[in-house]
Amino acid sequence: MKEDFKNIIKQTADNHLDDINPDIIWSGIESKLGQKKKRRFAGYWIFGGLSLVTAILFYAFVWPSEGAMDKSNFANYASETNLDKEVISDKEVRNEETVNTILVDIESEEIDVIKDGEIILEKQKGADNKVVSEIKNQTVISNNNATSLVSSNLNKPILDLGVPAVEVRSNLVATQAVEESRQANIFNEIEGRESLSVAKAELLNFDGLDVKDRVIEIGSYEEFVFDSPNVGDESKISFLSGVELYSALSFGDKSVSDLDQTYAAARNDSEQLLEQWSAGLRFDVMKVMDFQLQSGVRYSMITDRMQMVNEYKDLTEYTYVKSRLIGDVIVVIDSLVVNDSIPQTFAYTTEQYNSQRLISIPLEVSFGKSFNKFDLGLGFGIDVNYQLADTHVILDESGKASVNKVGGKWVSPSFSGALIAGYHLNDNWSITSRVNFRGLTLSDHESISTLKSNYELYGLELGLKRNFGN
Amino acid sequence: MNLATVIAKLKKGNHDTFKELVYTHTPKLMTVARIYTRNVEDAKDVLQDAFISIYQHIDQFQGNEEKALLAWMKRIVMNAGLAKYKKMSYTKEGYSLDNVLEKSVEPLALANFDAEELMKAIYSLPLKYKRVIGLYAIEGYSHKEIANMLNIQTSTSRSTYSRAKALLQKSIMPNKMVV
Repeated sequence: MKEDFKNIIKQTADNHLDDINPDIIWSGIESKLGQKKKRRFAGYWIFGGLSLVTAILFYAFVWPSEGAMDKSNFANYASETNLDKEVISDKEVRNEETVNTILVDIESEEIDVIKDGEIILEKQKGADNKVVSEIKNQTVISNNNATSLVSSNLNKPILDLGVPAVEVRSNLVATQAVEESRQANIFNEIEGRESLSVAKAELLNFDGLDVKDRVIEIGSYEEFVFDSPNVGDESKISFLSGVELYSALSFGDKSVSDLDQTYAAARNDSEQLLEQWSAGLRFDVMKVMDFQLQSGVRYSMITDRMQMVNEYKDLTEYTYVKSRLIGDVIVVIDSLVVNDSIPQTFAYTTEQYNSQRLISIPLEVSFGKSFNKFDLGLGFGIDVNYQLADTHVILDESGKASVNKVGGKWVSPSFSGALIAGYHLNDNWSITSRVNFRGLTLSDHESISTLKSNYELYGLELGLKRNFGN
Repeated sequence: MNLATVIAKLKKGNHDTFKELVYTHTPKLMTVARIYTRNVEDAKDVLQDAFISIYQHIDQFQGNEEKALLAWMKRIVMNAGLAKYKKMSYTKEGYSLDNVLEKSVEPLALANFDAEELMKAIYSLPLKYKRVIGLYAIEGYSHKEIANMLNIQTSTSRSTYSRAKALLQKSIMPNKMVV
């Protein structure tokens, strides 16, 4: 009997052709595909734009200039200087012009005075390789066997007095004479080291500048920092200079997008993001000047709640249950059985909790400044995310919970931005904090679903950092 | 054009082939969509979303027969419908359960009805009932499997099916309903 019923229903349904006009379906598909394409297109542009900005900033401010790090290069440049070459390329001419713009006539009385060998350094640390000058004098000079060069538009030129290389942070680099028979060389770092325009002091004149004197005046500067001969220019880049353990708590908003916009709107009314907790380990992969490239690993858990309203008619008994999902555990806060002799119609609200567990590999770029023991900075990053689990816990009217757990897949990358602050406890340890924003999009666990959950998370992160070296 | 060619073209994103697929299979798949949705409008939405999923996931189809392709597409439509209401279980939908008795349905009575009328009767059932009819009677899932799919108890699936049969009979033979 049962089989007959099933067969009749199955055969009828299998053989049935609906009289829907396919044009209606196709036009809907076309418009939805168009929307989806547009959204993806915009996403690619945003991602591409951010990547490009990151790359440009990184190249412009962070990427080390190879020659500046290698003292032998300077010696080579000095020795390879061809003073008699007749052909000067466009690039060389540009370099000369650039050099000219920052050089001023040295044939002044002031220079003569200083030439006598006075270099005034008001503050010197000496042995620990760093010397900070607070000289307000606007002239940098050299004595008989050392040339110092500083450009006009710098506030932190680097000066190496004891080796044959001097790097100037404004992209000008000079070699100094190692002995009286050799001369100072000047070239523009940013124009490329392969075709440096090298001015050999004893022969080249730039608008009245006699480089032979190896004395160059700069326009203005307030202070300069230079490394000792022992450290030279090599100390400007560091790898794995710190490791940090941190934890964060975030709150924010969850919204849903779907091809079915009516459904998405209805879902958005019922969604509530509860919190995100995360913890992780962060490494300073590379540090150059004030920029840092960081990576690591982070575990995070996001919990949200969806309320479901079911209407019932003519029921006399129902159970009221108030519960809360903590991790994967349902905690019943309150329950009450209501028994009415008069049948009634009412709406009952049940709850669904969703819990996301993610492992992320962040790649973050930050820029910061130090003020005494405090660090302040800005950073942003991209996270590669792996969804460990997507757990749905549905509480029914009787308080019973059904659990649906999926996961184990790579999901969309997320983006973050942060205000960073830190306090150095001592040379090795510091406390770190971040106020951050993270945008994350997760697709529904059903592979065919077009539903996407968008999380906007605002959080406070605290950490402890161990610093290595400078 | 044989199936392999169709699949190959779809995998390459051929728009015309996809359109042809939609026009060919819409009448059959709309039947499935209507069983797993509340109304015609929802069914259209589900079918459109399902076709987009089919288009996007065609590389996951492993078969080489027309029949297998149809079965695969039917499953996607069914899943799309179930997913929609699983996520949307807050939707207000009230059912009056009074006067619905767990009474066996006479198969001959159903057989005597025109297929079109029987389908209309199935379509007009509340979603809660018609999807259990679809999963149990048409797709052949067990009540235990249905319980897992719909996040309900096995006994609930069984009783829902029983009530669905009674409602179906009530719907097509209103005058013979015995209270």
